Amino acid sequence: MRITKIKKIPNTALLFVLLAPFTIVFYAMYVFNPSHIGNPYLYPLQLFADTIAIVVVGSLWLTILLDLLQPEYHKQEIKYRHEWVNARLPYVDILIPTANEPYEIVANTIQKAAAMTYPYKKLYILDDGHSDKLQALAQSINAAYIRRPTRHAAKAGNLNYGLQYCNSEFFAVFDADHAPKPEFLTSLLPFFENERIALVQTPQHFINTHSFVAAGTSQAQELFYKYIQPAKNSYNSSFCVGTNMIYRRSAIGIIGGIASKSHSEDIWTTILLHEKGYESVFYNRILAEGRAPETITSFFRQQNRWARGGFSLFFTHNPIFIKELSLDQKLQYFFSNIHYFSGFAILIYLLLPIIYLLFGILPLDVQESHIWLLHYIPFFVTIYFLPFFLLGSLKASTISTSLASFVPYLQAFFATIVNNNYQWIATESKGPKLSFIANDIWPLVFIISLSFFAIPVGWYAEKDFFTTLATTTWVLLNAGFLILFIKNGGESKKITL
Amino acid sequence: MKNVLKFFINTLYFAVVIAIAFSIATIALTKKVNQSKAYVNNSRGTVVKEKVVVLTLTRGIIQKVYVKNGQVVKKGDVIAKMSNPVLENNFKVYQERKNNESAQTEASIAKVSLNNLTIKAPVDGVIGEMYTAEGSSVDEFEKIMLIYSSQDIRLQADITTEQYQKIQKLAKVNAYNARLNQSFVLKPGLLKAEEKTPSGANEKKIGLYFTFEHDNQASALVNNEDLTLNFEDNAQTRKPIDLFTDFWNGLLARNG
Repeated sequence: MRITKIKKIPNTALLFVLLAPFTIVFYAMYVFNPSHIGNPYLYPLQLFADTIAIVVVGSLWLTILLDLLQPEYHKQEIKYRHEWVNARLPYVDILIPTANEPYEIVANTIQKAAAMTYPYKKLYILDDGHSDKLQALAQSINAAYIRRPTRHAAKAGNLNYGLQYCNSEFFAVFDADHAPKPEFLTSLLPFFENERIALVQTPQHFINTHSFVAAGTSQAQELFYKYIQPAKNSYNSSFCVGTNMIYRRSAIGIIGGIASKSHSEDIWTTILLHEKGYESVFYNRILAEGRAPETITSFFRQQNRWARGGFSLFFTHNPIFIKELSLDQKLQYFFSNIHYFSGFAILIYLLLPIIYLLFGILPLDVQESHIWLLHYIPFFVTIYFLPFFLLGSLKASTISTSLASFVPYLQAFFATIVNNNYQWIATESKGPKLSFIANDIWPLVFIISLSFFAIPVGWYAEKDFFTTLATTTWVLLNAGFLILFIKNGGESKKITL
Repeated sequence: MKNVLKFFINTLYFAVVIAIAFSIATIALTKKVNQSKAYVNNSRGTVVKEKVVVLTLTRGIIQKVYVKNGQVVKKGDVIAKMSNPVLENNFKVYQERKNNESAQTEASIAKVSLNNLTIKAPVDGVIGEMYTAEGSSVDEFEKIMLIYSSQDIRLQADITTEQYQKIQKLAKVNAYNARLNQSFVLKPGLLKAEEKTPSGANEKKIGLYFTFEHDNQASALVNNEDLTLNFEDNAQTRKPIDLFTDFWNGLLARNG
């Protein structure tokens, strides 16, 4: 084990790595024991939810552990020399795809991109929103402005259409809400000295954490960029997240352009690059400042898009069965895909206590409830306090947003199953279509109202005082977090940059 | 205009969702109330009395039986007399030889046997089965009759686990006997943890014993007699919840 890597992670994270297998196995020993079967219809549900939770947390644990244990032969050949860039001075195209995002946000991104210190760059504004104000701005700073006649294949289509007009050796992509820092290009270009590297990715960093939903999202993202992407990077399987990265143009040419998926073109493109034997680098330094979704609608849209990417890969192009990928890459892609199945687990965990209050049935036979508690509490702490162990803090917003995220995950799952076409709408865009908030949050409203109706039913002729009390507390907590999510997820009027 | 439409549709949407949640909750509540009523109506218990067998302590012939089937006896009442002419004769002979020490010893032994010829009731109770008739000869330690003891009368009832959970919380339970047209007060027993679930795969109920608060009242009951249990303190008064339950039961019945 390489001591240097262990020193990099906090002690609480090390504690998680050491203790998680014990708490998980200890709980699994109880739940998977057939002598604890309670209600025969609920038990499979509990088993299903627990299996997903165990696999998701287990894969996170394994990812962190594998990063600590990264073998020597896996080290990428990284030649990081500024002299190479200075000798070659390659041209870089900066692509900024946009579709109806608020003007202030896009303008900020364009201005920051233009202000990057590397001189050999050319800006391309790919506007699917057909905004005249943007066109005027582009002309004023001497950037190319491209509109396309259709909106086919959404962002991927937009990028591919824009790529027809540019032909530099490298191109960077910034979403309309991610503004790069001046040193972005100069810091990333030296990686491309190694010809096999097709992609250099930097983290998404969010500055609008004053918003409740954005704060919750960004903590989940922090986990991803602090632990998961670096670990994936150790096994050459870090993937593109759609913004804040530089591609090698020739590599994209070989795979036939950006993968033409209306959702999650980023991970699809990366997997195609990896299949061709290209390498990707994740450079863990914040070089762009972005905005996380602040409203429920935009949060759900974003999560739905990501989940669709995960599910569509899982069902139609499962990395496990791709021969060209190495075993480590297969494993890492598989871990990323299964994360979105946690939507089922969250829904089941939300419903089980309500079902107990309504019908008085439990999935497990907890005759000796103290023994069940003894097995459950360490597991519970492992799962719910995960952000605390890995990031050092646990915010209410994180719990709220992750509880609510079962809605987009399940929507994405069923949409993938029935294979309906996805209409890509940019995360922050204010679409022209009349959209109803009820369409998104009705499952949350249903669960909250059912929780409050279930409590009096549960207390009518209650069978077991302490079980009912514990269940009521649990149901109230869940409902409280969901209410917080709905309350703080309304439309924000002011845009602060 | 657009906002008004949005607001209207959103409100409608939420109203439908909340109404569905409300319906689910009320169906669950109706089910729960019905369950708690069903167990009030359909619970019967069986009276269990201790069976005491009366044995002979010496051999002889049943001379006279003083009791009949179903007769109430007190502890110590003479219920039968036996005769044993040989023993009586021997006793007389031994008694006459006052100077012979060993004869006197034999006499005192025979006297004990003679006392055993009178049979007394060992417990308070009711005479059950008779195994012998007057005039028949009996050996030592032979069963001659059965007494249903009036002490420690219990009521055995098969109940569901749900019923047990409710009974646990009650100090006293009422039971009604139709034959005597009389109510009895019972005290529920407690089960051990391992007894709280039905033992067999096909069984759905658990056996629970109740004790009678007043044993002398219960002595009028016959062994194996049925009693109707009433777990609710005041089953007569209707609560507001009943109206509600009736409404839903009616609605559900109408829809099939």
